[in-house]
Amino acid sequence: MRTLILYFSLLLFLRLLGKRQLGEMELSEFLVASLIADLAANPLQDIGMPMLNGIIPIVTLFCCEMLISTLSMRSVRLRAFLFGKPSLLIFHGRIDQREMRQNRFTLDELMQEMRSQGVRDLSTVEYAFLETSGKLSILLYPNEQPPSAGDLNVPKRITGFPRILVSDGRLIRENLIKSGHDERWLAKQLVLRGCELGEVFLLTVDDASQVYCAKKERNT
Amino acid sequence: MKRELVAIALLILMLGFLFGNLRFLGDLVEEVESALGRSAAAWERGDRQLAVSEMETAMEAWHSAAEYAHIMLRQGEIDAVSDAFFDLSAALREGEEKSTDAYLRLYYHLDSIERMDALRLSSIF
Repeated sequence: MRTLILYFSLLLFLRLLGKRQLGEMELSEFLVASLIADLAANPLQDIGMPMLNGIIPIVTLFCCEMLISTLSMRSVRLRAFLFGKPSLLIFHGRIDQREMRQNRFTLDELMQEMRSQGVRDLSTVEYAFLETSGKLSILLYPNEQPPSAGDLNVPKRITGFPRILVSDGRLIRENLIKSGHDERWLAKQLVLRGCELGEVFLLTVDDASQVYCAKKERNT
Repeated sequence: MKRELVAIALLILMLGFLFGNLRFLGDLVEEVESALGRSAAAWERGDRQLAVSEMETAMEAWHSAAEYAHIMLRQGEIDAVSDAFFDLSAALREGEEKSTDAYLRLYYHLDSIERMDALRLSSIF
């Protein structure tokens, strides 16, 4: 019972904190996430501990994080104080060794990040920012960047993004409406592909009405 | 902005809850300790019957807050106080000298509960 209560409480609070908590985290967010997990575990492991000893600190952390996030959004100074500022490790192709020392960022780590982002040659890097989340952002010299369709004068097809219309045999009506189609159109697409709604694993459509359809495998 | 207001409201609510809890706990401990005090005074005068009766009043006051205790206090603390009560009860019925120790032990456990939850540097650190 305790496990269920704490689990759903955690789920609710982390959901309320927002997507940032699940993506790249700032320092305070990382702190809250790891503290919350630990706080929740204590009453689960020790049945003699009141459950409020877990829930109250979690609620307190959630409230503090919510307020700090809001205040830091409104104040640049507070944001810089709490989260720091991005550090420029490479400026105009030159490695700033002092910045690297200050951030305790080693050459091995720099090379590792370069490799993970597909950069073979350091001389192609114009800027490299060490973000406040700890991620390294690399910006190449304009000449080194891959050409875009616009650069090559290649006409691009407007496709928008694919919307899921059918997921595991179930129609998502809201997406069907947003895509500008109706059920008659969907039925026609299914007939063209020789399947029924319940047999579809995934069906998407983009703004150019390009349809992708994957049928369910027989054993599922 | 709604979420932030809810967060502030929750913090204020929890602060209120904290002070309410401290007050309730203080009153409970005071009620139990004053009955114990009367019991100890009666014991010293040689009035065993009154001592036992007041001790039972103290025990009843403690047990009447059982729901609160199980929600708010650690099980170890509850057990320590309950054990101390049983020891005191046994000591009083046997009419032994160790009754004084039993009183002191019970006072200590009750004070410890109040001290641990109080807003003091010693309880925070």
